[in-house]
Amino acid sequence: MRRSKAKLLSTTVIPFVVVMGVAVGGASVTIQFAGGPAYAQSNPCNPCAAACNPCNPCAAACNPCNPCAGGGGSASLKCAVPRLQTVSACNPCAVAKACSPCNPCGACNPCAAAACNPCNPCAAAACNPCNPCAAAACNPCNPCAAAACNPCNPCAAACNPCNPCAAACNPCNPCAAGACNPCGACNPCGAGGPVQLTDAEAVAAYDCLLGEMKAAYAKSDNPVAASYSEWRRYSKNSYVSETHGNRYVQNYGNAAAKAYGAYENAGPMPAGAVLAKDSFMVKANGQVSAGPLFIMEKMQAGFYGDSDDWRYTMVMPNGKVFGTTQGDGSAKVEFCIGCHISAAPEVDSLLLLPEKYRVN
Amino acid sequence: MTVWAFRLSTVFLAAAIMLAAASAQAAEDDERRFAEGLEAYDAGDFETAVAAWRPMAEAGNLDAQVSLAEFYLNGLGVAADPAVAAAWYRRAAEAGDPVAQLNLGDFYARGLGVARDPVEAFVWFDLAARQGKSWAAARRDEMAPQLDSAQRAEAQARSERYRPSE
Repeated sequence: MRRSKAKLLSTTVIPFVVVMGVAVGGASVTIQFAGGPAYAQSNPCNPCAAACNPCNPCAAACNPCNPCAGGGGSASLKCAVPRLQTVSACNPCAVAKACSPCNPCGACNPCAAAACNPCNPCAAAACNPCNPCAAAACNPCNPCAAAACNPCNPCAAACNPCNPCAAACNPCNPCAAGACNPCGACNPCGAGGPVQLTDAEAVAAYDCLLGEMKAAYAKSDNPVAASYSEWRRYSKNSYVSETHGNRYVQNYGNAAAKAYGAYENAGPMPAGAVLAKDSFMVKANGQVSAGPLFIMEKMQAGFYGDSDDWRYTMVMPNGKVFGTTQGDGSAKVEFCIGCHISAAPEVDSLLLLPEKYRVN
Repeated sequence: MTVWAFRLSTVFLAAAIMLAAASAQAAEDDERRFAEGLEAYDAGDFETAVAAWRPMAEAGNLDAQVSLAEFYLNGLGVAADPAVAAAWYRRAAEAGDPVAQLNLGDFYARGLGVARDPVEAFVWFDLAARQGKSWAAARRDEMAPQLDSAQRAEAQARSERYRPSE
């Protein structure tokens, strides 16, 4: 009896205790993470970084769309688009939707006015003594600081029709829709759609950024990442791809994909054909940064009917590959199939680039 | 006694099966949530991607941590902050993610979000290289001549001592 009891323990109770122990223990493991990711602004001189000033439309620390927030990052400065840099440096509110009647960059907006307005709290350089947000609270020129009776203080008089921070119910008030929601439809400081580059700007940005993009994708050790830029390029220059997040992209194909150059008449691609799209993003302030490398490879018939035998891979600019069709993390890139499969059957899941950008 | 033991083992077995099923369901939910974030990222909707990935990252999902690091580095859906990017890479690197390790090594090599430190860079490149990352192995070998013999010994010892944090 004692032996059978011991056997029972070893076959039921002990494994259960081990399983529970692992589960509970695993759940309780915490990493000592010094400080954790801090959300504080890193730039103490940033006039827009001031914590949580409810009257400062540029202030909210949690504002991810705030063009004044943070700064730094790896977005390539040397490849930035000069035209956009100039505009946004003087007035980050001016970049998008400049003519909107709801635009707080209009004449009544103390943050807007003309570019480089020394009284513009959004515009001034960090150490500009005219920067009313940087100055001490008693600075009479500081529209955010002064007392309620200061007629120049747009944050003060609730009834001041020029005060963009006043009426909480004003849908055009960038402070109203929630301090953390600068991306609201009425917020002219929010992203106003994709930044448009001229073709010349797109060429310059791409030529400047290509080395950086190749270096970024190479972190993945993906063989396509190492070789794609030597392949034939089918786009004259970078163009906005709506199906790839409005990023600027270029199209490359390996030798087996040479039929791609016939575009609508290409017919089904042969097994071994590989198409790659590198991509970059442009911010309203002109900064550019590498986006993902999108790869589609035609596999042997029978590979995966749902994808028309295409294998999709997305390489992040930090080298991470989250999924490959029918490989590790296949479910994570299933959406690639969902989009490409919508192409006309005769073009074999290819979403062709606009005619004006095609290399013939 | 035998009947009692049989009942007890049945209860435990059922509990273990339920635990395993719950764990599998949680993993499936994680994968679905991550895919939603990835789809948003692909579509250029960085705020949605951050909203999907941040809770996962905080709960320990390495893919989400590595993604958030990239977002903080480039200011996608969040204010750019290389120091926060480095913190997220560190968290995933310490847990053993090779891409986080090689990127953290790159941060130390370039002084991006952290103070430049060739020894730290060497350690993280080496750890990623040990997991088969050729890019990291090449960077580690480039870094080696920048270290004197004492630094190299220290770096190698730290790399040897490393154990994933979870």
